[in-house]
Amino acid sequence: MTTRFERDRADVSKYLPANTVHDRIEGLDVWTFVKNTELQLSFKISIYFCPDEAVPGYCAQLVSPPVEKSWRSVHVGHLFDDGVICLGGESMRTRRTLREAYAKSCLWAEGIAVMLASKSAGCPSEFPFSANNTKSEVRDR
Amino acid sequence: MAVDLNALRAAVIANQSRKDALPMNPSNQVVVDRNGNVLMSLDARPGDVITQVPQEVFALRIESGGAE
Repeated sequence: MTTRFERDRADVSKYLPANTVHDRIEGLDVWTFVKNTELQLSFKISIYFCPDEAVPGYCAQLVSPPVEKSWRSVHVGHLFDDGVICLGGESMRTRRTLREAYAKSCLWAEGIAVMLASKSAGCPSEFPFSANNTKSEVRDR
Repeated sequence: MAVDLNALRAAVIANQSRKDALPMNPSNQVVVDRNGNVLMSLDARPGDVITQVPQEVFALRIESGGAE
């Protein structure tokens, strides 16, 4: 019988970027990778299984870069105040598998990159990959 | 290969509107390869190791009659 760590390590080896590194932090196995987006912005994201969440599962946490405070919202930037990415689904903070958390966090990174780049260009865009976002959320902020 | 973010957005929003988070139809599937690239399933190359992206809305769910 394999342990969670062994299963996760196998998934990371097969499905996550080669730049993924493992750390043991406060008793958790944390897998951190750099996601390069289409708009040439890079995000460092950590994925770990958290048994203490309301729905235990895999969290994806933004490590860097920092995003502006008004976007650190479950609705606007889909980011909890503690840096955990809102991944949708039943629990919002967790996914059932490491691969789901990885996949959804990569789509999130593409979306937040659009927000950052469009704001820099003076034409702020709402988060583009969720049907519940509107342009008015980012206008005049 | 560069990804058309507008086309990607259109596919994701359409799937969310249908409440089809993990579509069976490959033409509607969004995937991530092991380099973190997000792309449409049909644009993946043979042999690419990919993971399907769950496409439900981020955060709150769409309620009937509109988006939350």
